[in-house]
Amino acid sequence: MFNIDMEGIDLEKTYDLIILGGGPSAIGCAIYAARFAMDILVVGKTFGGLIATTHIVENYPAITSISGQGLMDMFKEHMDSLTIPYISDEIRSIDRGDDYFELHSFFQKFKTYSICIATGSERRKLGIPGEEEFAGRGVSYCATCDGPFYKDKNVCVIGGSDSAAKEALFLAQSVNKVYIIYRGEEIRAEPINKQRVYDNEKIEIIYKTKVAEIKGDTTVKSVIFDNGKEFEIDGVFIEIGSIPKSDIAKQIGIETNEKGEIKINRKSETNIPGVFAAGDVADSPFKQAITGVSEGVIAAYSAFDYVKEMNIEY
Amino acid sequence: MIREEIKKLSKPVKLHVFVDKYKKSKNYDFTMSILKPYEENSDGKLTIEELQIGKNLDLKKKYNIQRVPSILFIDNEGNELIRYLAAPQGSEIKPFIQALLIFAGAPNYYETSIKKNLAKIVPSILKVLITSSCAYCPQMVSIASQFALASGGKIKAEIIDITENPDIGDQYDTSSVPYTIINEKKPLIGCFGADELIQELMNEDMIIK
Repeated sequence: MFNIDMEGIDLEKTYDLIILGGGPSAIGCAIYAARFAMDILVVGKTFGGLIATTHIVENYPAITSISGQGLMDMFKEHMDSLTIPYISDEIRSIDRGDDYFELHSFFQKFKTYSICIATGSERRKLGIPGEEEFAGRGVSYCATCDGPFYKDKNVCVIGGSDSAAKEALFLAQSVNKVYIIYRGEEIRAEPINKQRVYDNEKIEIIYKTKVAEIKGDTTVKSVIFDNGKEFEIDGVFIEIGSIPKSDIAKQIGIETNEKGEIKINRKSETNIPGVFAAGDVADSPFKQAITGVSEGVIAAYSAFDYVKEMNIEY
Repeated sequence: MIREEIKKLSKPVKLHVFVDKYKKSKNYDFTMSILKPYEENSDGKLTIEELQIGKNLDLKKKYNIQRVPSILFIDNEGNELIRYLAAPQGSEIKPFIQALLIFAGAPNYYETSIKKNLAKIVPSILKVLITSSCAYCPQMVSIASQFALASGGKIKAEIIDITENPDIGDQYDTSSVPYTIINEKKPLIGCFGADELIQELMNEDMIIK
């Protein structure tokens, strides 16, 4: 969640570190950087990141079970205890000065000696007929946000990942029936969640099937499978992975891999000195809140070293 | 949180709550019980003024009050800035307090840009449809409210809880929140950034029905 007031926000100063993003990686970075007594600012489009929409998190060490929103509320509480300033905004361009960066949003410009890009990722879309037309009217990308609209109705979750399994388990608490529609032969969920799906009588998995079209009138009524069969359904939840939000990085020549993820080393450094990256936007193979936090923390430490070596006179 | 944050009000402000004493419903009792702690913990700086619609027909007409309770932020010139058809509770407490603090004069991050671009923005009503379980709704409410407060009434924000007002959700066939309707024309589904929202508002094709 955003800051209620603008305490600690100085739009004129040159910050030691500006962190782009609002998820666990960004906040992990911010907490450590604040404790290193760096002048920092967090600029994020949405506070919480994708994990805020996860109904249950059971693999964050020391917290047995919590909602994604609950976890991010705890992150925010920790941020507030260190009076870390946060702004809801999105950086659209970056200019490089001699020893600083100038960041531009529609509303403001900011100056900083270093940057941590932790902009995360966004839900991948299917790109099929009806998906855009029925967005918000039967097509959803967030079960925790929109699940309550489908009480006692029949819905489907498209995808076979752990996230898809968790979405199905969440929806099964209130809907009549959940169909997981997956193109593969076995869902790829963590074993514990896979078993929960198998054990849940409200969930049925339709394997080796793709959805080719979403149909309806004012709201979704059915989906068309790739074999031509029409399948009646009230809601379609799409959970087919995510795309890194790395446009801003590419714009200033930061190297990315074939997936568009920012290449980082073990110090969370990119190929541009003073620019670090962490979390889902980076090229780490395992995308988890805990690994993103870890990369964010390392980025804070590396940024601290980087700025210290600049010998800035305040 | 209410106790701690509402004390930051820098000057007295008033909220107008339109009610119907002849139709005192669960909604009325619930909304007033939610609003009371804001007033009680404000060191006298926040006043909640109840306006019976039957006795304030001119105001009812002026502000087009269609349902009660309606919580209105009205500036000194009588311009409606924000309307809540929602009880500000749970995760909606923060954007509500933020709006109150800005209403009382606290800095508004978007103010300079909104004022600079005000001539390019047509008079607009932003309806933000929310539910209490939605993770991204408070942020959308915050942005819409700050835009409205910076615009002096040219942009109006209406915050509508569709669990409390299911007919409004049905009217737009909404099954996803936050769901923001601009001038009864263009819906933005999901959480949009402030820059995307202002650019939508500056779109010349925007018309009010």
